[in-house]
Amino acid sequence: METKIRLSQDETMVGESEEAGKQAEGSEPTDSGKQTEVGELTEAGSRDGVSELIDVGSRVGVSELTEAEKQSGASTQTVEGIPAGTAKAIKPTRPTKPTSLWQQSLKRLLQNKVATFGMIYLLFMFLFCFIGPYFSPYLTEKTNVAMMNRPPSMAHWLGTDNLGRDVLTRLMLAGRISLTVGIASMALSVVIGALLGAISGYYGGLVDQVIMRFADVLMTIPGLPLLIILGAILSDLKVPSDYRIYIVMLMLALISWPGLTRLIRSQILTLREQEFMQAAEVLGLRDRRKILNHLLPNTIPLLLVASTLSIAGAILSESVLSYLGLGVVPPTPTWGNMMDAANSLLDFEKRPWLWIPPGFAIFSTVIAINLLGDGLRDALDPKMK
Amino acid sequence: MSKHDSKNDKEILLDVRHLKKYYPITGGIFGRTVGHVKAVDDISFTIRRGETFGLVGESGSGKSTTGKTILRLTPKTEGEIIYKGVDLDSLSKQELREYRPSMQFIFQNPYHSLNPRQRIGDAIGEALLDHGMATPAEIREKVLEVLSLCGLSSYHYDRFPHEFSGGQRQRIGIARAIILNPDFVIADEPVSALDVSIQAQIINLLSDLQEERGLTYLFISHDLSVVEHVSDRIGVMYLGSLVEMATRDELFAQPLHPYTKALLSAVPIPDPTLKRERIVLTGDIPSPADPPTGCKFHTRCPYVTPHCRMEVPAYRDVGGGHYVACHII
Amino acid sequence: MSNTLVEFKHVHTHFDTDEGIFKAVNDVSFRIKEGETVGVIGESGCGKSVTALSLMQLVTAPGKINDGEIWFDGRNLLGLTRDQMRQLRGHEIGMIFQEPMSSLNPVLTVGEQIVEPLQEHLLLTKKEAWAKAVEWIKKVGIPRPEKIAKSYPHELSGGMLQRIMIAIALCCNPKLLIADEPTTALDVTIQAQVLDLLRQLKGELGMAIMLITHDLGVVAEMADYVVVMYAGQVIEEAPVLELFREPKHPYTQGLLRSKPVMGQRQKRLYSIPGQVPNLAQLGESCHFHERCASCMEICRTKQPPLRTDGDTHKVACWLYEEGFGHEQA
Repeated sequence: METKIRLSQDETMVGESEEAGKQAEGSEPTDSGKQTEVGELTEAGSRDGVSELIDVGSRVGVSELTEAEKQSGASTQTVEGIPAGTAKAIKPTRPTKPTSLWQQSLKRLLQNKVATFGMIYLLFMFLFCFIGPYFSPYLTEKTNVAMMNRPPSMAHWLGTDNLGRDVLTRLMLAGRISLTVGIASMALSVVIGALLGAISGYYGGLVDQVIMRFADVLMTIPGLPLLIILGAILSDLKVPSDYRIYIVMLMLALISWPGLTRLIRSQILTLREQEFMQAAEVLGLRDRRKILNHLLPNTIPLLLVASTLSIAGAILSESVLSYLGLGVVPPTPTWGNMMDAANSLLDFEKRPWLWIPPGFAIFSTVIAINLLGDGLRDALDPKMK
Repeated sequence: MSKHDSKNDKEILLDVRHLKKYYPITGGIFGRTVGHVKAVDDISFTIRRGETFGLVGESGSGKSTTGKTILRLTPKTEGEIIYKGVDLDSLSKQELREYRPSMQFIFQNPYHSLNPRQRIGDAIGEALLDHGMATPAEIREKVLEVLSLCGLSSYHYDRFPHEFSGGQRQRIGIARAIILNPDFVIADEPVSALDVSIQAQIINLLSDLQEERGLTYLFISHDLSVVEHVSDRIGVMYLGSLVEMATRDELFAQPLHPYTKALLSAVPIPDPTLKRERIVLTGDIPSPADPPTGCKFHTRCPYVTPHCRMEVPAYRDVGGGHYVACHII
Repeated sequence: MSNTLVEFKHVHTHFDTDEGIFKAVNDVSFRIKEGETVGVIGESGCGKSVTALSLMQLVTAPGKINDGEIWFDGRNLLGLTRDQMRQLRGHEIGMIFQEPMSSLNPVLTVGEQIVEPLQEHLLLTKKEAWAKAVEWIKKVGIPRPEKIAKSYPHELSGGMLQRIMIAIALCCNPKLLIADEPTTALDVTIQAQVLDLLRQLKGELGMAIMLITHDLGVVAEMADYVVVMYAGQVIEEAPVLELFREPKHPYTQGLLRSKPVMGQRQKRLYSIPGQVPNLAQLGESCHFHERCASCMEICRTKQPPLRTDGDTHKVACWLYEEGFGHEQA
């Protein structure tokens, strides 16, 4: 019971933290929804029917049992006297190539137009940020007092900032930092979260108690104030701006692992009770094999979804921190501190090219990640098959 | 399935003595144990080598729990499970692991009992590898052999569970159990999730395998017609207790316990011309968390006497290995 | 002869999915007469439930009734507006499902759920409706109806809930009751109770029943007329006695032979080889030809039409067509 409740809480947490994504999910009926319905309808009310019909669907080309093959052989005999050619023409369908669950998931993901759009957009964003700067003539240029606060022009497509730097180039460079911070802090929190979650879920008992209570404590402290406090301490410690970016990553990872830990723990707890784990027990498999072959591969989809969504969270948090001047500090550009640089009313009213591009970059990237994450969730859900 | 007369001389493979499995019910704010669900409540039976013992009962009768408790998949509360003369409970985790290949289990839902992210060839072969019963080089060949024995094709080796139909998955489940060369197989409702035409295929497969390999089955099912078809001896469970046990022919020809009689008469028979006297039981199956006093069946029994409400009937042999627990017999 | 109540005329219900078009109901035609119990049998995925949902117009996307007519009591249901259809459902056509637990709203008492259709369709006041609901709970054989009316679904057992479902379906005195696997989720002894209840209520109210089931035993006991479906099509239909005495389609024959029957134990079960074809990949052949023991050349290239063979027996099989049936023994 406890497990289930935990699981659903965690699910809502992932969902709620990214409202934009939720809305997209609500308004766009996904393919996954449709498929389940087919099953339910064909054998309405029958739980087995659901799987049965989807069976029928996934059985494309696999449907022939040996018996069916024997049968086709046998029936060739019954139609003796009929030209062999005609009988041959109706051979059972050839077995097609086996498709793994991953291939299927990818196919389903690509069928989800919204998620595919999110993926393509992210790909574009990466290219834009990591390769884009090399095409910019202003890459090495530091400041240019003569070109302060110029509106967009042919030379500076997005104008220049208050130090005369090209906004477009800075946007790309900032994107590098923001995306890197997002991904790195996600990776870190996934490693911590998955490890602690798996330990907690598999061993249970005191270990579980200690880890989960610690996670609970961290979760009861609101994230943003905690970050602000940490940021303020950093500022006081006068950490060089080059290092700050790493510390920001650490901070972000630190506040986001408890959610992941809970998620993985509940997943492990559920998996442990699955019948195939009981089957593994019947077979007398070693613990190591049970964990490596049966438990872990089944948590990967969840991890993938959770980590995708947590990138978005990290990017947002980093932006907020940097906007408040507590994250990565200038001159290292991030989308957050670019917006911060334009935080006067004058800039807001008269120089929209200063804040619209980074704002849009944050907004669109986060939405794209959420769209992709939601699509991944639908595509990877093993219950959906 | 196998011959009847030679049965009594055969070695006792499994001896279940006074097996109990209680699940605690927790309640209150502090999660104290306020009672027990007596899923299995003091049952005893033996299974001889080569026979099929059928365990029938309705939902909540504890038949599946019995199967899982025998294999120590869930710890028992009390009683002894003696397999090949060894008390399974006395074994350490490591020793038990060594016994595992010889006692296998076939699950009701073959889909849930297969890891969705594992190719079925690996699923079938991994236990061989893990127990050192085959080298990695031999695995494929051995798996292919078992696949064809179970009516599957070699190209199924690299596929995933979701690509199979219910019947094929059950064949996979059987293949996975059979490859370890077990002596004893517990089949927990192996065909109840399948369609009639597929059911027959699986039942035939199970009996072919038994003939070929001399398997011993504990066949758990709610479907009396299936149990009648496969079993040599049958035990009938109601609310965690065995109420009757007899050879198949005896049980179907001469059921003694009122519950068995009602159960037999309740099974719809696909023959519209048949007119039967039906004993329709009134009321529902009581909850195993709060079983009736005395004879557990007294709330629904058409022949109930005051005595039945007071005292638990003894489970006794009424001759020829026909056991029954009822006051009025 | 009684009048036709329901007539399916060449109904096609298809599901357009990523993997192709599933022809769940593919050119189905049959009738249900007033006061008659028609058993629709078939294995999972044969389209029997979708046929019922098509009648209720509860087929949801991606499913669509593409073609055909469904006449009910002189009206073509496919021509009705949503509102007209809504008034029909629960009023003139009642429906019960396999899982009573999931078909009832967990946050309303069962009494409130019986009251709903009574207020909606019979326009009773709340008080009258409640009295009637209690009366109905009594009618479906539940003791202490006043108390039960105030309980929530989770407080009742599966058998009781199915009785409640029956009460909800029948309280507006429908002309037709659709029972979709009404006893599949229930235990044998409870199934016997529910079937008895359905029979008794039918005697009182005289409604027609469309009984969808995979259980040949249930059909034999309940139905007057049987429709056998396979891969989305009707392959055989006949009065129940006739069908069980002389099944004509090889599939029906196989189905009857492959079910183990209590008291008629065979050494080995007959089994239909292979499995149900993929509904998205149906060709022009007879859909059963790959599994059929008497498959002929024409079966592979052309679908047999459903033809009347004898007085009342209809079968879709080339064996019974003029000029093809010479192979029949």
